[in-house]
Amino acid sequence: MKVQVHRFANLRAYGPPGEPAELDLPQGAPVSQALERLGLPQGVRRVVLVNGHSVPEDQVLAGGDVLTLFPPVEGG
Amino acid sequence: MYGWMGKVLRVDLGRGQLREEELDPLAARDYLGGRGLGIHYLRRELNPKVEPLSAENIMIMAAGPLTATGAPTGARYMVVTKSPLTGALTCSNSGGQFPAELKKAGWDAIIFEGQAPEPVYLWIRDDKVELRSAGHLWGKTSHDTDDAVRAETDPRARVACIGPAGEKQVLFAAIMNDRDRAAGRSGVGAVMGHKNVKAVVVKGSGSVPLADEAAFKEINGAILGQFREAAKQNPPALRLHGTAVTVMATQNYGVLPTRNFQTGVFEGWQGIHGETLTQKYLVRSKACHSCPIACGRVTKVDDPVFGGEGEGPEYETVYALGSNCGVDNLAAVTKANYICNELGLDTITMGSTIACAMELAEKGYLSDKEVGRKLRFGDAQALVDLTRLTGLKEGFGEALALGSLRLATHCGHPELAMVSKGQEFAGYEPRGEQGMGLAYATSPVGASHMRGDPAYFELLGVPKTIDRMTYDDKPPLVAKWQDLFAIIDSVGLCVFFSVRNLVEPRLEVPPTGILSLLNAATGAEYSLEELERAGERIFNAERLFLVKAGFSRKDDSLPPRITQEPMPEGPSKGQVCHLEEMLDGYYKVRGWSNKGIPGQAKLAELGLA
Repeated sequence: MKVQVHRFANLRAYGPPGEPAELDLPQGAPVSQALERLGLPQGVRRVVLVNGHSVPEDQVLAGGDVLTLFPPVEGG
Repeated sequence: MYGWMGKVLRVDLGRGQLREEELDPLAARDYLGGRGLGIHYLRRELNPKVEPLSAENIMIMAAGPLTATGAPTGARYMVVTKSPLTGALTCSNSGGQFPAELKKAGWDAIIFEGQAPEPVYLWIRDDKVELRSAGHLWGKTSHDTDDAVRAETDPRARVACIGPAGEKQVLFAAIMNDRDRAAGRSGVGAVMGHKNVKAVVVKGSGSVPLADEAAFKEINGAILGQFREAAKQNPPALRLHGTAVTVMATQNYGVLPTRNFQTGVFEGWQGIHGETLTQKYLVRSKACHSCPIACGRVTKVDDPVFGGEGEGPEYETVYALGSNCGVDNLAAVTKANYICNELGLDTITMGSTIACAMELAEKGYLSDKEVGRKLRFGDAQALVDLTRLTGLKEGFGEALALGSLRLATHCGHPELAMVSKGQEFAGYEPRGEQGMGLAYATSPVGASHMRGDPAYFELLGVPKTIDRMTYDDKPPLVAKWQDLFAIIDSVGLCVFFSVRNLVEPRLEVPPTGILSLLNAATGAEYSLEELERAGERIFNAERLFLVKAGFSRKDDSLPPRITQEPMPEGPSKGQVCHLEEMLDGYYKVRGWSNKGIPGQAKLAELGLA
C-alpha cells in the first residue's frame, strides 16, 4: 500500500528527497514502520498526524493515508 | 530583597510628580511580580467600572523576579491596565531588552496614574527619574521615537513607546519596545496615549541581587546544558523558522483560521509558512535578553510594491494579516507587519478586523462607498493600505480603529466579529481544538493564546499531544494550564522556553524548574504547592476584577459560527466547539458558581476572601 508523507523543518532531512514523499509499505503496517523506513531515530522529537489527527506510533496505516511529521513547536 | 529590586516608581502624571515606593514584600510573595503584581495593584487602586480612556485609569508596567537574572528567557514584562477594547482588565506581555533594563535600573514596576496635561516621556537613569516634554516627539513612528529619545538621553538606553496609533487612541494600539517587540494586545498603547505618555526610556547600571548566586548559577547551567544537548538532535523549530513555522501544524490539523474563520484550511498556506519566510526574507534570527532560542526574525523584503525591512512576521501575524484575510502574499503580510510596528498596532486585532470588514463587504453589509474601495478577501494591496489608514486613523481607518466587534455591530452583524469579550481570536480555530475554545472564552483578557494556550498539548506536542477533539477532559487541563501561564507571566519568563524546559514533562505540569530558579533568585523558599497556588490566586484575582466590572458567564462566550456552524472542510470538517458542555465542568474545577463567580471557599483558600 502507498502512503504519502509530508515532512517539515528539521524532519525534512529524513527519508527520500522531494516533498511529499511516497512510501510503499506492506498492508497493515503501523506508523512506526513508516518512520523506520524514513530513518527517523527515536531520539528525534516529532508530532505524527494521520489525515490531520495526532496518532500514536503503533496506529495501523491504510493505503492512501496522509502522514504529516513535524517537530514539537517549542523553544527547547 | 533578592530577585525583586524592592522598588516601585509611581508617576502622578496630572501633577507631574514622581515618587519611589517600597515593593510590599507580602504582595511580592503572593503575586510574584509582572502580571500578578499588576492585578494586585489594579484591584487595590482601580474602580473596575472606570472608563478605560480616562484619567482615573491606571497603567502598570511590571517585570518579574526572574527578569534580568540571567534565567533563560528571563526577559519579560507586563503592561496591566483596564482595556479600552474590551472593558476587561488586560495584561499585555513583551520581551526584548527594555524589561531587563528596567530591573537593572533598580525598579520592579512603574505605576502611571492620571493624565499629563501635555505629552511627556519618562526618563529613568537608575534612581534618577524625570518627566520630560515630548511635544516634539508627537506624531513620530516607534522607530523614529526610539532614535530621537536615545539621541537626547543615552544612546544605550532602552525604549518602550507608542506610535501614532497610540496617540490617536486606536483601540488596539500597542506599546512597542526595542523598536519591534510589542506589548500588543487589548489597546495598552491607547491607554498610554490617553495619558499623554509618548515613551519610557531606561538606562540601568546595576544588576539583580540573587539570594544564592552559586545555586542559581548551577541550576541555570544544568537547565541550559540539557537544552543545548537536546538541541543537537532536535534543533528548535522556533529558532530555525520563527513562530510562523506553526502554520505547518495548524494547516495540517485544519485549524488555520481562514477568511474570517469561515474555514480552517488555507489553499495559500505555503505562501505564509515560516519555512517560506526563512527562504525568502530572513536576514538573521534575533534573541531577547538571556534567550537561548532566538525566535525573533530580522527580515528584508525586496519587492517593487511591498518592499521594506524590519522584524517579523510572527505566526499570529501571518494568520491574522495572511490566511484570515485570504492573503498568501508574504511580502504584503510582512509589509503590513512593518507598518503595525512603526505605527504601533496589534497585528492580531488589525488583521482580524480587516478580515471581518472583508466578510461584511463580500456579504453586502458594508458598502464600497463606506470603505472607499471595493474590498474582497485576498486583496493584498487593500491589506497594506487599510493597515496604514488605521494606524493614522484616516478615512475608513477610523472605523477599523475600533476593532471588529464595533465595526460588525455598526453594520448590523455583530455575530461576524470573531471575538470573545470583544477581543479577536488568536490563530487557532476552536472548532478543531476544543480546549482552545474554552481557553478563549474564559481568558480574563478576552480571546488570547497567551493566557493559557492549549495549542501546546492539543496541536504542538508539548509536553505531549492529546486528542484535540475531546471536550469532557479539557476543563481541568485548561484550568491548570491557565494557572501555569499566570506563574510564567508573573515571574518574568517566556512561555516558549518554560513549557518544555521548566515544567514536568506531563500535563499536570508542576513548574519545578521555575520553582528552583525562583527560590535561588529570591531566597523566598516557596514550596511547589505555594507557587502553584500563587498562579491560581492571580487567575482568581483577575476574575474578581472582571466580576466587579460586570462580567459573568454570559461573557465567557464564543460567536455562533464557532459553536453552531460545523467546519465546512478539511481535517476538522463537521466539528463545532462544545463550549457550553465544557463551561459547567470548568467552573466546578475552578470552585466558581455556575454563573462564573468565584466561590467563598476558593477565595478563602487563596487568601482572597
